[in-house]
Amino acid sequence: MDIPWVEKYRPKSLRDIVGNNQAIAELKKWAMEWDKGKRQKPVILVGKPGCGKSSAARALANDMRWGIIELNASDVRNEERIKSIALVGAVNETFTDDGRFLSTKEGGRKLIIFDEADNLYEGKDDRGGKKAIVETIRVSKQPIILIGNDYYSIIKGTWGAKLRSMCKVVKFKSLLPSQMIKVLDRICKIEGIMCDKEALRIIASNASGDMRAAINDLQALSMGKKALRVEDIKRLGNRDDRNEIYSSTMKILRTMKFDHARDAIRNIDETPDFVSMWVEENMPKEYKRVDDLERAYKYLSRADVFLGRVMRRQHYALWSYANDMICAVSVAKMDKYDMHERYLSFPEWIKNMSRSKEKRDIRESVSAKVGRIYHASPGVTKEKIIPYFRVIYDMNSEVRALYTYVLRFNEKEIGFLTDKNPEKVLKESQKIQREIEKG
Amino acid sequence: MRVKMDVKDVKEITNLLLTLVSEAKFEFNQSGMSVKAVDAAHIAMIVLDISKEGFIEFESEDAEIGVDLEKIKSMLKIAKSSDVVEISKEGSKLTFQIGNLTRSMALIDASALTVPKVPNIGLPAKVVIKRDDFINGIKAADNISDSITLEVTPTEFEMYSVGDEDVSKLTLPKDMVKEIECAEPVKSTYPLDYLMKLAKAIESTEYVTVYLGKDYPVKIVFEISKGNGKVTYLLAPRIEGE
Repeated sequence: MDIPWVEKYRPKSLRDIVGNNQAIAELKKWAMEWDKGKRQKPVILVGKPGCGKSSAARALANDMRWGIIELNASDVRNEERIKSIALVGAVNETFTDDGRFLSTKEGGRKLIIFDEADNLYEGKDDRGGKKAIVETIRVSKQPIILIGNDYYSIIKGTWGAKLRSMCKVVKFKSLLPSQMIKVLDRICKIEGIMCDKEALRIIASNASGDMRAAINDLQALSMGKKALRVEDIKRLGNRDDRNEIYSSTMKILRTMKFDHARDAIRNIDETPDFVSMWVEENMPKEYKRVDDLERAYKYLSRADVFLGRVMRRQHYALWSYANDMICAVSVAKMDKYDMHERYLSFPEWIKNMSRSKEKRDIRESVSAKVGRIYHASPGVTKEKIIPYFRVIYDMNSEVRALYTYVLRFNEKEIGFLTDKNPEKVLKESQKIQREIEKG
Repeated sequence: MRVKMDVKDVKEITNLLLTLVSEAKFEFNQSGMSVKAVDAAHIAMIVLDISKEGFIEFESEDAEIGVDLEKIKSMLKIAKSSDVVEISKEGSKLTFQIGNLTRSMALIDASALTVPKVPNIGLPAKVVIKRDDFINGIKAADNISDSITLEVTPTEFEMYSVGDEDVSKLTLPKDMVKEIECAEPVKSTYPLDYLMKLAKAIESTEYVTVYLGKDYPVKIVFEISKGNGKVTYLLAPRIEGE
């Protein structure tokens, strides 16, 4: 297949970028200050997908004849990698792919771009990523741009808060259909495709401000064609409007109409139990009247009953009843609350469970080991045996040493059972082990 | 394409490239092989040119081969340094044969790998020193600071690193270097870990040529494959002042 038109027609210069004049002017000014040798705060470019943020950043570097280092979501972005690439790049001079050496003394710089900065999977693949970005910014002698759709994901957390105070924000707006039609028209001319104005209008309005989506649609539709008419566009159908958990929760809590609530979770990519947790977490912040709350909790508890049945019977058709009960939260209120715009929080329950995961894992492994010699299930062991076992284990050093050896407890498991120093306990058990092996 | 080479040489080539990249594009023609690579932070470049005399046997048309270097490295671990490896390309597979052992690996799409252009940099000073001196000067700076300064004056060559408390310094007066060309003193400071990695990867050459300027990149040139290959390593300096 040909190269994607999105890449082929990506603007090379800021002059070629359509729309967002104000943001572009601001970026230019920022770059000119750098050019004068004045270090500037990094910039966070925020805006909906396909509004030209990444293109603007690259075009800027191109206009300034700066080098580029780019880290986006397809790279691993943990602490180590960011430091070895971005931080190292930020304090040293630059070679470019096209064979130039750029000295900052002569105004040569490299632009460090963290694209999709709202998609750092902190705690998973990208552990320490935000921290490393902050540290890079602290020492950087090179210009830095962060890019993201969702400003609040970028600035959340301890390190996110630091980012907020260290950077300045430039907002990009979604493109207007008229602006997009201009671009699409130009592409059609270059590609030699005859195209109805009306057809382009439909493509543009379908994309709802996302230039990348519009160009992709145009390329897909005109594949192997010389002319594009309105009938051809019908094939495309409407772009799927995915609902996000965040906005859906907001809708359920704000609307007075059951149907609107149902629409909000119809296309959502989450399971009802997750949605229910979001609603549960944030409902008390929105609903203030006691009788509204009572009704809402009643519906949520019904939803929970259905969710329980889904699990027990593995009968997923019951999910739709759970969904309806979650949506019913919207009509539990007698009147609208006129609350200020507020940011919803992630379910506390899930946070706690992941925080306590290690602890629970240790309890499970201890129970499994102890259960084996008591011939009891892990559940029974946990409830009926462990509490007593723990006391004996803690008090009696011989028992402690023997069981530590027999059940091969590790340091963490020992720490769960007693406050004694695990290393000492292990040593005692090794002594017993030697005695036993000697017979 | 089919070539034979000493395992020792293949290892050195792989290790040198691995100091900057994990994948590389090898370009072959009738007269030899060349590789160019730039690191992800865009502060260092390496160019390897090996003429066909650097191989034990060499048969090749023009070819571009994209290779995962870590795979080669792990494969060479089982070979002895005195072994000979035969490398051949068939379709999209690259086959390595060492004695009775064969291993073939999938190639990486060579068009996806960018080959940088290498800047032509004029550097006023030049010294030729023993490889061991060069390596010692770098290794001495370990754990002292994260950067190292190279300095050439008309009478001596120095490598030093200044930490918060500790200082390391290697001084080579004129009579201890093979060659020195310098009109006025120049010095620049570089990230130490890049040179440290390089020092661990340089093996076979006897001498290292260092070209230096004032707060400018360093060019380090040395031989591989028994004098039939040349490596040029460029490293950008720290940004000073501001």
